[in-house]
Order: sequence, then C-alpha cells, then structure tokens
Amino acid sequence: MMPLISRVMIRLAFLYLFVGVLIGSLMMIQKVMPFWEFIWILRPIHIEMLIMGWIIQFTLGTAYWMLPRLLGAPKRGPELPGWIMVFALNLGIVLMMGKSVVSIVLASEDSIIVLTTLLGVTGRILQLLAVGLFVSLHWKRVVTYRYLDHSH
Amino acid sequence: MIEYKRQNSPILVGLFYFSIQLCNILLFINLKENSVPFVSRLFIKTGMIFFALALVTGLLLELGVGMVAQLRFVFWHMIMLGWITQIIMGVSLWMFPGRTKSEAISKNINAYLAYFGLNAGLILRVIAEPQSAYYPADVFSMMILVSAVLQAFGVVFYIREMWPRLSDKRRLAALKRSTS
Repeated sequence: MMPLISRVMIRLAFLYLFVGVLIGSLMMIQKVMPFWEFIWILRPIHIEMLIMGWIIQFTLGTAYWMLPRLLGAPKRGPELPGWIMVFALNLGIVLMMGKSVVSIVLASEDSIIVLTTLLGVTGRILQLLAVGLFVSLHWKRVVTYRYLDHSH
Repeated sequence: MIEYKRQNSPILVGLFYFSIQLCNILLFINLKENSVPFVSRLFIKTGMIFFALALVTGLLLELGVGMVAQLRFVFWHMIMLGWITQIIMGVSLWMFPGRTKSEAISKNINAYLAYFGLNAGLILRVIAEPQSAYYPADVFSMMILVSAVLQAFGVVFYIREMWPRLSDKRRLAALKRSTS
C-alpha cells in the first residue's frame, strides 16, 4: 500500500503539473493571440513548478514508496523527517515562486535586491534540506536482500 | 457472358498491410506482449522517439542550423514533455495501484486521451513554432493555439486517471470493484 507521504507528494506534484502546464499553454496562446502582455513574468514560475514541483516531487514521492523497505520497523524509516521533507520542499518551491513575483511587482523598490535574495536563498536552502532528508531516509534502503540468510 | 468478380486490388491490399507493419515498426509495438499495458508502452516508446528527436534538435542548435532561436523552445519541450513527462506517465499508469487489467480503450479512456492530447499537441508545436516566427501565417497560429489547448487537456485527462488511484485502501478497493 502506498504510504500517505507518497500520496500527498504525488498529488501535490499533479497540482503543480496542472497549474504549470496551464501557465505554459497561456504563454503559447499569448504568442498568437495576445491578451496580456505581462504573462511572460510567469515564465520562471512555470519552470519552477514543472521541474521542482512536478518532476522532482513526483520522483521523490514514488521513490519513498517503491524503494526496498527496511527489515525492522518502521519500514520506511521515521515518519517525522519524511513529513519535514514534504514541507521543506513545498515551502522552498513557494518561496522561489514568490521571489519571481516580488522581483516583478516591486521592481521599482530600493529594497528589492535584499528581498529577492532572501527569498531565493531561503527557498533553495529549504529545497536542499528536503533533498538531504530524502538522502538520509533512503540511503540504507538502496540495498539488495538477495543474499539475506532466510534461515533466521 | 463473362462474369467479373469484384476483387480488392493487390496493390491496395499490399499497401494496407505495409502501412500497418510500418506503424508497428515505427512505434515498436509488440502486440503479443501483454505484461505492460499497451497504453503505457505507447507512452514510453513515443517518449523514446521524442528523446532521440530532441537530441537531433540539440545537435542542430549546436551547429547553428536553421531557425535556431525557435528550435531552443522545441528542444526543451521535447526533452521535458516529450521524454521525461511521458516516461513518468507511462510507468505510473502501469505501476501505480488501482490499474484495470483490461486493455480495452473504453476502460482506459482517460489514459488514451492523455496520450493523444499530449502527443498531438507536442507534434503541432514542433511543426508550427519554428515556422511561425518566420512565416506568420494564420495556419501556424492556429496550430499553436490548438497545440496549447491539447497539451493542457492531455494533462487534465492524465490527472483524472491517476487521482483516484492514489486513494486510501478502502476507496481503492471500491475503485477496483467498479473497474473490474
């Protein structure tokens, strides 16, 4: 049975896929039937959503479910770091998207560089934290039990 | 009196069988194998073709051949949508829980519509986008418009197929009963 953490991550990935492709489709339509000249400001959000939100999140969620389970309980390691991984990854994605919005909306403000740097650095640190947690949770699960002595 | 018996032209029959075999060869479809669902194999093998085409496009980009600026968009979308997204979709349709054992199109209608939407949309884009920058004809604009809509609908149908399959054990059992 697929664990709740995987189901949450994969469903979030589907939401990012839907919104990301919708933005992409609107940008394509803008090319041939202009309706909002500022739509191109959404391009970094389109890329962040589809790479980090869809592809990366989907693969992490699927790996959490499919990689070999540990022999002792809990089978996929402690749950708390798993949930922190989900939270950190998604907050990181939201902050990176926020950075793109802020850099456009507040383009004339003096403090823009500080704010966008803060959002960008925090966003990427949170994504790094998520990846670190993913590696620590899965390192011992990337094994083969082929040579396990079944006599015990 | 001479009787004329109506016969199919051997040339037409030959062409018909040749075109079917060509489709099989192009899509690498092994119709006898049934462990991986047919629609998943379609996704994965079409993805492989897009992967190869993307790298040919990448080579053209490096050589500076043709409509380079517009090919860059086509290159990235063939990699990300044509290859990576399609292989993810193909494998998830096959491996995720709640799959129907039936190969009937009616039982897998969302997956087939997703396949059609994504691939028809991407093919239209690959053809029209580089052309539209140099020959802004209405036909290319219309192709880009249709491509955008088809790709969005393709994704909607894929999510529609997969969303219920991520339900908890009880709902999944109910889903299996309803699809079997």
